[in-house]
Amino acid sequence: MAKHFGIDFGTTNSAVVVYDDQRKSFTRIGEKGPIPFPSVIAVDNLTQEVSAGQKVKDQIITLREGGMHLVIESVKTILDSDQLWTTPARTWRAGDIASELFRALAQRAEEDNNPPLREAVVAIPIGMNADKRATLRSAADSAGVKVLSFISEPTAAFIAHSGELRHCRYAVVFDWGGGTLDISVLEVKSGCIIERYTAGSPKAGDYIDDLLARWLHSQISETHGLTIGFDNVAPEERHILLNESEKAKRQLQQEDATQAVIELGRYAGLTLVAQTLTKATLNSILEDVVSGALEMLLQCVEAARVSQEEIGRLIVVGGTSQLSLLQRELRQRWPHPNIIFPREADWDIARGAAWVAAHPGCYRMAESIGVVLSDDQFHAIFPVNTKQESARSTLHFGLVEDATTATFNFAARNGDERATHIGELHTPCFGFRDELIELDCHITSDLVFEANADSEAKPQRKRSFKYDMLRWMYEVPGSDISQENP
Amino acid sequence: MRSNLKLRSNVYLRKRSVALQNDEAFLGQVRGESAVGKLLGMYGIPAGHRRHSDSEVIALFRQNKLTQRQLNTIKWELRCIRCDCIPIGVSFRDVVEFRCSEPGCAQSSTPVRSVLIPDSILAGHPRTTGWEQILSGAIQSCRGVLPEFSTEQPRTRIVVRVAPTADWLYSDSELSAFIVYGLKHQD
Repeated sequence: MAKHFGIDFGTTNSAVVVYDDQRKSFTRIGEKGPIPFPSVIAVDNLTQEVSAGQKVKDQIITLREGGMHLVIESVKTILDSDQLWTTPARTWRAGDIASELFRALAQRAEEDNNPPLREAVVAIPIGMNADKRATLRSAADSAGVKVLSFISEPTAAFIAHSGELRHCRYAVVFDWGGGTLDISVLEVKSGCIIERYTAGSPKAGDYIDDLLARWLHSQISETHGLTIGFDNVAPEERHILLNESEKAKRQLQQEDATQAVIELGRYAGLTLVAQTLTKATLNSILEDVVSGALEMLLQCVEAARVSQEEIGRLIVVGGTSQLSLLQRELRQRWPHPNIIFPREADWDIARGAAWVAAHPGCYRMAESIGVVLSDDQFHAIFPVNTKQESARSTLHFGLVEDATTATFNFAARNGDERATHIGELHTPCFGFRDELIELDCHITSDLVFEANADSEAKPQRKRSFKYDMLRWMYEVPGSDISQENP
Repeated sequence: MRSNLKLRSNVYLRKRSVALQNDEAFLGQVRGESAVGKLLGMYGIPAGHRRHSDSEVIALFRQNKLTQRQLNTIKWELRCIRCDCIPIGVSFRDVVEFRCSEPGCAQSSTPVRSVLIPDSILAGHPRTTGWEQILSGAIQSCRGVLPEFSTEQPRTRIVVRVAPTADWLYSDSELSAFIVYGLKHQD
């Protein structure tokens, strides 16, 4: 296959990038040129026809108000929920919605004369739990897209800039998107990218839009004598204000823009309302959020026990990182000339994922996982550096007490540090006797440690333990992406 | 607030190809009165001969088939044969007590021991009765912690009634040390 796909399945927007192995070039697949694909779908209640992306986003209010469509946004955040949506013909789960988004992305790729999107590397945020990963994989599968592997978003962003990071031992990825702010301190060691420290915050693009909308509401209330609170405004009108706030925010990021005018057809009983937002006001509203984000960045670097001087590059990606206030403040508070503000911040993660699809590396464990024995000693099941695909082991245990339950305490250990308890597994036994308990352990392709305990005397009582928060390092193959950028 | 409880693992690695009785590393981890009792049974020790002071048990300990901890388990966790509780243990006052509430508990019948006391000590405190009060008073004032031994010769054997707890816990020479302490610190 000469073309390889990488997908950044985002909360607010999703991006697909194709890497052409022969031409050594990347192609973006999104909406209207440089805009990624909005992660929103609408289902027609009558025909069950599904539409997605920008056309739904543009008419979201009309579709919602019309009552003839089921409209769902930000499905990524609720992939592990039991939430159900119903249309007259069927019931929808979060996985079904995600599947429709994958289908829409595949269709969009084909419209641009690309080969069918049948397999891809999908970027996921750090800390995405096992259930969400499994749902995402199965959703992609139902849409006919095989997930070759998952790659963490900061690692994908790092890979997208690996040419500029060739001699760096440490790098920081500051990924400020629509749904979250994720900061990762990465270390490059023996050809592996290690996530040394990560931190996250929900104060991102959507939160900023909400702040702006609330400020605009207060201004409109003051001018027109409104007494109704923002939260009590009709949902569709509130949604319009949020959309207009986002547009104004984007507009004011242009270098020559000084003010934006927000015009609303009707709002809280008023008609034809207009409100001006200046760049200075926008910056004063965002001051605390930006300052908080930068504070988090500095704390994250400190917690990673790396000095700022040791950080080779600071890569700033994600839609919200385009805020001019952030860029200005960052240059002041990060006094090192090593910040990378990519021109296509929205696409870097998908670009890194596409490159990984063409040059698959492998995951190795960045910490040991094991079981604490009855004498409180840590016994590593999979030591540091174990490859994900070869992580499979069967161990035998015996019960040292005359109890009817065997207790396995699992722990993770980083270097010489004390082992940290991560959970336990209880399996029924007959008591102290010649009874072997088999512990079968492996690491799934979704990077989840799974252990199944099974007493030979009670084979029907198998019990399982899963842990999805292991620390990984990604071994990058030798090729250099910088030579292959368009 | 951090929890101060810890769920302890009760499993240890077994060698699949090695029979249980030969898996020394595993057997050394066996704990708890019931499991240690089964372990003794596996070594062919009959139920009536599983006291810590029984020669078969001591022989196993000398052959390294029983650890010190497992020996202590037998010492401390002997069940009352009537109510099945473990009547000997450390009370909240931090002293070892015999706590079985069964009036006819077989453990509560007062045993008798004979111990050697240096003649020089006996000469200073001539008495022939009340040894049990001197012994229990000494154990209480020492809070169960052994006082210094005396190996002075010559010594005379005396017979003393001891509480079941003391009978299980202390050897003859340890009881002697307590009595010597009690005699020295009388009044």
